[in-house]
Amino acid sequence: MNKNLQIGWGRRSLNPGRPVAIPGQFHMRVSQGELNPVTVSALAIDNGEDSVIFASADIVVCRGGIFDAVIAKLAEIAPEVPVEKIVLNATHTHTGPGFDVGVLTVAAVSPEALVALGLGSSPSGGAAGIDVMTEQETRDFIAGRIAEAIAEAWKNRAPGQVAYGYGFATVGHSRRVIYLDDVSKRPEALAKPGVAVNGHGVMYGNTNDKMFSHYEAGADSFINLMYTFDMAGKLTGAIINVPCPAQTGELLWMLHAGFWHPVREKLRAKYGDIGLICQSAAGGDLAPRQLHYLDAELRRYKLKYPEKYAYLNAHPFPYPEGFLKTPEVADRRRKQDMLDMLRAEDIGERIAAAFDEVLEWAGKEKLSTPEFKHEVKDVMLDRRLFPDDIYNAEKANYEALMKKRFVNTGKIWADLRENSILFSARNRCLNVMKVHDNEQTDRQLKTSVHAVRIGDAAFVSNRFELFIDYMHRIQARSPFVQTFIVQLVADRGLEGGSYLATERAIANKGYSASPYCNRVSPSGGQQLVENTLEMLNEIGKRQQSRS
Amino acid sequence: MSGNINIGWGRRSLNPGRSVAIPGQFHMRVSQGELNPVTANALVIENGSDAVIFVTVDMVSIRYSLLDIVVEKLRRTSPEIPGDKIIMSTTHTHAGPNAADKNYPCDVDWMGKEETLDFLAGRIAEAVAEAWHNRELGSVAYGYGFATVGHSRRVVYLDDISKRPEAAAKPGIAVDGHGKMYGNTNDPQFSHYEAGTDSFINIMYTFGPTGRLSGAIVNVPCPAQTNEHSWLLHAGFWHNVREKLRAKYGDIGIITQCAAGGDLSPRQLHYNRAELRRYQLKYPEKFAYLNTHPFPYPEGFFRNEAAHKNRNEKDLLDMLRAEDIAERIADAFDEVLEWAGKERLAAPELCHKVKKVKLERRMFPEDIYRAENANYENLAKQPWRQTGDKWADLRDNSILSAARARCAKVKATYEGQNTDRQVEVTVHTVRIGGAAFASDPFELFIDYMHRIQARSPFVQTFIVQLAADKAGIASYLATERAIANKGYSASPYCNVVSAKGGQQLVEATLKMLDDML
Repeated sequence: MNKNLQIGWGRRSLNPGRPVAIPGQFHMRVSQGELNPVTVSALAIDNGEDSVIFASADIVVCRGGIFDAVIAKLAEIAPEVPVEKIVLNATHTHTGPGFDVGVLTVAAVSPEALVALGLGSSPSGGAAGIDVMTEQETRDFIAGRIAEAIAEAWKNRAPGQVAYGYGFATVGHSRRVIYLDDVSKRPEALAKPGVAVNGHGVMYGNTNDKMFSHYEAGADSFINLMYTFDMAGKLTGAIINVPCPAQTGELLWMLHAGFWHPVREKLRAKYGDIGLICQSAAGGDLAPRQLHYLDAELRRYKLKYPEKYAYLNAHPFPYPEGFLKTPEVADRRRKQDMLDMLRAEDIGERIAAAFDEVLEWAGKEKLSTPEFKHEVKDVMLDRRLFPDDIYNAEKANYEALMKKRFVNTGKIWADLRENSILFSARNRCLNVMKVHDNEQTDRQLKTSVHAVRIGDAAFVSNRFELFIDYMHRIQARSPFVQTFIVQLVADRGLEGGSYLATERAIANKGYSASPYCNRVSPSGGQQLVENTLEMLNEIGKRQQSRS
Repeated sequence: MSGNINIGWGRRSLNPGRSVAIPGQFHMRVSQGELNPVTANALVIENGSDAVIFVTVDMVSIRYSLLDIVVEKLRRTSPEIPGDKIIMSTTHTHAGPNAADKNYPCDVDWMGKEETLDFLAGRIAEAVAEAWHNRELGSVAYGYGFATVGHSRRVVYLDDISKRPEAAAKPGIAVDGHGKMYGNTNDPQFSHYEAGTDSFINIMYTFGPTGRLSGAIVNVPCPAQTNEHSWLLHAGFWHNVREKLRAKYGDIGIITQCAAGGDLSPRQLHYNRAELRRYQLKYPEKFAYLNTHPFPYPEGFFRNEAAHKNRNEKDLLDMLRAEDIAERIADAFDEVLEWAGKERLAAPELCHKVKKVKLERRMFPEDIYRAENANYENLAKQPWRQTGDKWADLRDNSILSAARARCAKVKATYEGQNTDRQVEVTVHTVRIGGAAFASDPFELFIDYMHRIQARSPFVQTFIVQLAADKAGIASYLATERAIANKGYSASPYCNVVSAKGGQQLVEATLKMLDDML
């Protein structure tokens, strides 16, 4: 006999209330305020025998020791929480608070670290004068808030029920554009060392091109939902699992949660202050951007949201003085920001509509004593290794980039832009070199995978920006009725994220499938699939052996 | 030219009220009645300078020059109607009436080919004439939204499945490689869906002189092949869409177009248990009813009871799937109408061009020719089934006939390919304000649609596949990657035009679209 579920929710703001780094682009940004709430939400489910604690945070990625810091903090404030049962995911909003190891040094926080990392000396003065939280402060703040939300969820546990189902909501579109020709061979093609290596594939490529062929893998409009209820049947929250990162408005310098914010607004307006875990299913090759029909899209929003359109058109988002290079760039940015904010609203409507639709029928089958099991396993995945020619090219790129000097013009925001881009470029080349240098001894990457069973639904995690083909491989072969894939889940240690591209993507090249972007190879991707399925089969057996 | 537009709607049933052939599977079916209405729908838009007549028919394909017969009938009955302005496309329901030869031994009777063509052409012509005569001043509005309808039906494996020990050669039916249509995704070597899918829905609404909604063109990249094995006439998911929209908006006209959907179908190929559970919980009464009221099939058609049971289960799933899909289309219809309806165009630019375009034929190397020649000879030696069990005889003999025809087609292509290297097809392009329509006669793979839409000078470009043309009969237009992956829909049996010809179609269509500006 299965035991009754205990369910608890917790939530905290991730806005530190002062300038904080916003990683997610090649250039580093520093927050200029909060456009809408960035939060961490936590959901604890346990039945006395096993447990899971889902947490989703409005940050771009979990790395830099953030998860270790959460665990350390929980040991202080709530030692009873089973930390090995935490599945913490980033929504991949590109406008959450964060840090990247060493990058803030470009803002003159820690000049010594640059040297230590092999990334050159700090600009003298550089971006000094920028008021921004340090790495350590940021890590402590984010980890502290996440730990508090988790502790709250754990403490709030009370008897409850779950229900699950799936529906459809168009959110993500393929962002990998494939051409009939190899675009790197076009006369106008520029080598972009440390940024991108295109071939037939280009991320966010222009589709209005004579040689445009297709979107590499298409998209996926499935949305997986699990609702929670109290024992009286009142809705208390939900896990919303959508194969798309939350990167609308991804270039803003204001903290915000991307399209999840309008989703939360709409659902809480209708259902009260419910808890919401916002998970990105596999979305490495997806983004919430249409790459064709852009005129139609703009027209759609103009007609659909005339007031919002007019307001946004007249109220551009703030950018730091001197950051946008020219008035033309500023105008283009204003238009794209406006489009993206309306896009988020539109996406929010579709997710909310799917939420309602699925709740109506899935809510008929509430489970208070489902089969419940949570396994965690470290798996070893083949690294993506590089041949000598790539190594030599990246070494040459690195050396050229090391000869470039950090700028110190006194225009602090322009300097931050240039220096952080240079820093990132060096770092990317260096990472490829390191992989090649260590390839005889370090051929596999260790990462944790969670598999959670709740009734006939399962959740499986990975740390990557996973290409959708891998998700389909897992879902199609899973023994469960529904399998929620949760990407960008926190690993222990400093590492996290990275695109896990497919065979066809690596053949096509382009950002997200370039040597700079992948820690794991397609054979490692298939190892992830097989390991995950093995875990699913294992937890799927339990019911049969009981019954 | 712009000027006030006149809009008219017409509609006719395509149910002849007696046994008619239902092509669409390898085996021939003969109607056992009508599950729901199969119709021809016509919409005329003209402004005195130019005109377009959109027609959709609940049929799988347009064969035997049906459009020519329609035009000839109209010339006699309504000579004022410009027959060259008709864009007649099928919804690709696999349960519509059609003309079919009976060129194999069989004791089952159905309407003769000429009689069927005459009936269908008559009804279509009546619908067109009605639309033409109903014209009155009106306006249009257009927009797009999203509705998940089609799913990729081309499953790609890490291995070449034709090399698996269990692989069976299927002469005249399929040639799989890494790709397989409707392949099993619960397979250790499952890799991916070839091109994914497309959930865009393009809609153009029409309004009468008082501003009241009079109808709409609903353009969805998915063929209407739910319950595609039915022996009852029906319109697939479009029936459910029509029911819902007419319940809400009154008896409006609806043109139901299939955008590119050669590699799509309304079936999920994974998450099937989740799908069944969804319908069980969502439609419990319908589920219970359908579970106890299976579709009728002719006595002796199934080879065994297990096959019959399996079919009943799939029919049940598909009926509920059609209902679910229709909800999403109807929701998108409402959503788009709400905002797109704000911008009504009473005198939009209207321009309609029709052009014959030559596309490179898909040709075959000698080894394929030899293989198909051998297949054909083997099939030619197989005797017809003549057991007196008429439904089983129909099944087996129609399959054998289709298999022979497929092999013969590849042979004929090879034998003619030194002199006959191109296929001529008709392409229509229509401009209505900032929106355009572009037709093709194929089951077009979605990549081609995206190439056209991404490069089109129009705000929205409605792709209309399976538009009447002699060359388009049952012909998929597959992409480079599909032909490399193989599998049904990209096999030598399935393609008249090559992938290069596909790009020629894209370029020719874009040139026509550019010219309209």
